[in-house]
Amino acid sequence: MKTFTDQNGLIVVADIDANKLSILCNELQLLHTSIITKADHPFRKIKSVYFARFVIFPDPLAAQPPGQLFRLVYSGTYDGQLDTCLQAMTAGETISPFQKIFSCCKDYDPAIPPATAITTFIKGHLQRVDAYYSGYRGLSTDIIGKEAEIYTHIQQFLRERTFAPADDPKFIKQEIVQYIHQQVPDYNPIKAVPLPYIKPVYAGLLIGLLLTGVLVLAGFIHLYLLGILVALIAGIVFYLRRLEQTAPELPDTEQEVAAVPSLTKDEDFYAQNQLSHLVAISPGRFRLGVLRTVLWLINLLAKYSFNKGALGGISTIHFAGWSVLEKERALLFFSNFDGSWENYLSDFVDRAAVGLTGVWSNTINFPRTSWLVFKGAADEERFKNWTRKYQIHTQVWYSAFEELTVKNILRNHRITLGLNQEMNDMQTKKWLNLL
Amino acid sequence: MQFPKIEFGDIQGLLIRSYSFLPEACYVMLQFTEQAQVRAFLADILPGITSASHKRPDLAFHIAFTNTGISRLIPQEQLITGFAPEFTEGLNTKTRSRILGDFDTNAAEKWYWGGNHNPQVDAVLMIFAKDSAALENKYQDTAEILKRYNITEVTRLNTMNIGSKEHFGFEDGIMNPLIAGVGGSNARYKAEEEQNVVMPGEFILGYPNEYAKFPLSPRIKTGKEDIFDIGKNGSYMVFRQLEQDVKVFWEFIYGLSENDPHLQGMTPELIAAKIMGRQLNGEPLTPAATGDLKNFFFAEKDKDGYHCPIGAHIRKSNPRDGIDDDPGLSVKMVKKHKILRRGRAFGAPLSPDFDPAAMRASGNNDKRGLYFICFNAQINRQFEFIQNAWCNNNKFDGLNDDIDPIVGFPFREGVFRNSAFTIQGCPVRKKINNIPQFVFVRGGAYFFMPGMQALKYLANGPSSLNAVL
Repeated sequence: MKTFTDQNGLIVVADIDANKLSILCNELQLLHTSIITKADHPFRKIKSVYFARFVIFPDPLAAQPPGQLFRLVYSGTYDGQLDTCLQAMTAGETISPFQKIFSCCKDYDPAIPPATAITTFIKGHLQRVDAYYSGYRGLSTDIIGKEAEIYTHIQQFLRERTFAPADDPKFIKQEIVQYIHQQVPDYNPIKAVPLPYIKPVYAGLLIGLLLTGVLVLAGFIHLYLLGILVALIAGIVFYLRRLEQTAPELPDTEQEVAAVPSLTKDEDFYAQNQLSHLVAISPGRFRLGVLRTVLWLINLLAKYSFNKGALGGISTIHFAGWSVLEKERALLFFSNFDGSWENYLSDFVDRAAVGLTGVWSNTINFPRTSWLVFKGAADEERFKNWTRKYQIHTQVWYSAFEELTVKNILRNHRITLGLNQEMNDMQTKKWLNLL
Repeated sequence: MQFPKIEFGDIQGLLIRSYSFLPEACYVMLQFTEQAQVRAFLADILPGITSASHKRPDLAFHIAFTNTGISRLIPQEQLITGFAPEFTEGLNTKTRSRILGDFDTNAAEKWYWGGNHNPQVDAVLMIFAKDSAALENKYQDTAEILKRYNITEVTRLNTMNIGSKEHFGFEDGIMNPLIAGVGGSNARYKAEEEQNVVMPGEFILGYPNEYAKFPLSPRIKTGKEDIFDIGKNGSYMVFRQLEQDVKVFWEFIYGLSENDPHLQGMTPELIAAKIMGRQLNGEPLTPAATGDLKNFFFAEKDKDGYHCPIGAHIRKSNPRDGIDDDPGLSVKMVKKHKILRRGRAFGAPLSPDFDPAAMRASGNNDKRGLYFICFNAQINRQFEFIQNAWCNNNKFDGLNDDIDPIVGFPFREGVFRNSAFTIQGCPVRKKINNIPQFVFVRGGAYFFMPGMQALKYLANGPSSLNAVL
């Protein structure tokens, strides 16, 4: 039995040494090629990594975009400790491409041993992930791999054996369990680890109650205090509404046709896809404050309310995160998801427009919003155009289980958990349905 | 609810009706030469184009343009907002091929028309007639006109009236969205029909869509301040020639029924029905009211796919209320991915009465299939979405490796790979493996079918606007 392994997001941002930009691009290209051709590449040896990517981007605040590429981002998701992950990254031959890549950055110290240099470099350039979502918290890469293997064995078994309609479901399950014990003798059954969970509805209620509580408390202390608080909230809302009405939108004439092929050429290689997106935050401390508040809230909700494989109804996201960068002037979004871009963005619009508008309404050129969270992303065509406009090219993207969807991973997990559970007829029938 | 008022007089009729009362049809692909001649040609044929205000014409005549055809008539710099990127790019390009799975056996390099190695197609004329004599008459007249204006006929595609079935032998054309407003602004629909009532802006530019937004429409600068919405009352038309290998289909099905130990006791007709999601006579596998072929729901009666498998063709291309665990939201979402189907068959049936055993045994090698034609306001969110995110997606709705067995193509690999099909059921699912390809893409293009005012503009240039606006 294993204990709970949490997953962590990592974002490293560093300045590129302008003289080494072409070397860097070349190295990234090599790494990218070795991944898509399924050649021997270093990520295969870093067992704790689910996803990793390298992105280089130009100044998001440049007056004349796109400016010179000037920053490198290394981002990923790993399970367990950062040190374990870094040790694997810097061990033996694995270190070589990382050393070549990071040595193209300004602050990389080539004078010290590479393993130390990389570790110091990464730790020195860590950025906070301000809101982070995980589609299957608690499932380590080990578990996912093992459970996928068990699913494949079951498929093989059902290919070899035929069952009659009258066969007892319990008998079939027993046969499967026996087969798995033969095929995977070293298999250690794991136990489900329950996560703290609050239904999204209750979470919303709780937030509402807390707010009301604060107001009521203020009223008890002194009516003036209540008055000041109410006036403050009214002021914020009034100011926000005014900003919303004057915020510039991306004009309809600017359909980003030309930029799209450079992005789409790397899409749809696997069941999974990725998105990197960088946009300037609207000017002023006010917008930044609102953005930080919304991200903080989403981070909490993602941890305690959306931890059952879906983020606001979207069940195709493996990991996604927002990070405020560039001296709090730009917002970076990274996502690893299932299916096509169009499918993902449609899910955004149809299922999660409110949350996404809450975040991105604080960035530039976003479709017109209303009351912070309404309209905006619900303006489907303009929202998609806007997303493509600020999407940036991901030079290197690695996924450890590129052909497994979130649903596949969670299904495999349920199947594997069920192998060792006593079940009644109904439960057995449901379990067999998963196969 | 008040629906938007539809301007029938400005819409080409094919958008509103499929002309089942005009069983003969042909499509003529054109290539343009000089702009002046194309304009004159358009002016010449314009009075003959059938608008949607003709409820039951004796003959219908339509025109639609590809991007090359449009750009021959409208210089790029005149457009303030352009046509949709998918249309501008064209069906036979790399990005579109990747999305649709037009690789390998479907590759545009091998197409009969519209492909990378074929003559350029600028426009299509579509003729619908009561009988073949009337069709031939209109075609001959049209051919004369084409000659007069030095316009080349690239190819003529003849449809075949094979009745209400498609070539594999299934009843076809059962489902088509009901456009809100076509039955009048106050039209009422039965409760069970609601899931199929879709806002006009999903199919016709210039009306609100399912997001309560107007779809982006190409607009032309016609003067200092004047703008002409050339997209209004027009629609994007997807045209794909899909060849069906009927013999291979039934051979494969019979092979399963006779030899696969997992499928013992299942007749060929039942296996085929599982793959399609309907019986040969059109009856849905999912329990529905007697005689109602259209209105049924997956979530309530068939959540696990015990009747209609989750990967069945009709469930993949129209999941209704079945996506995830929220039927209401599923219906709302599916409405955003609907198309108006207007296709017709080509080639004679492999067996005159569509008898599966006869089709399996036949040695006839003639080409047959479907001229797949559909209308939508946003190709990427509608037609391409259905093909890509649903049919071609082997992971659809939690499945493991099931592409649509009828029209799916595993687009990620770039080559056709036999995929699997899962028949959910008790006590445990059955799986069909190594399914060959039954449907092949043999040609196609993305068209834009303009409204009548827009056609006038294309024919006469900017001068026509003073007269009409």
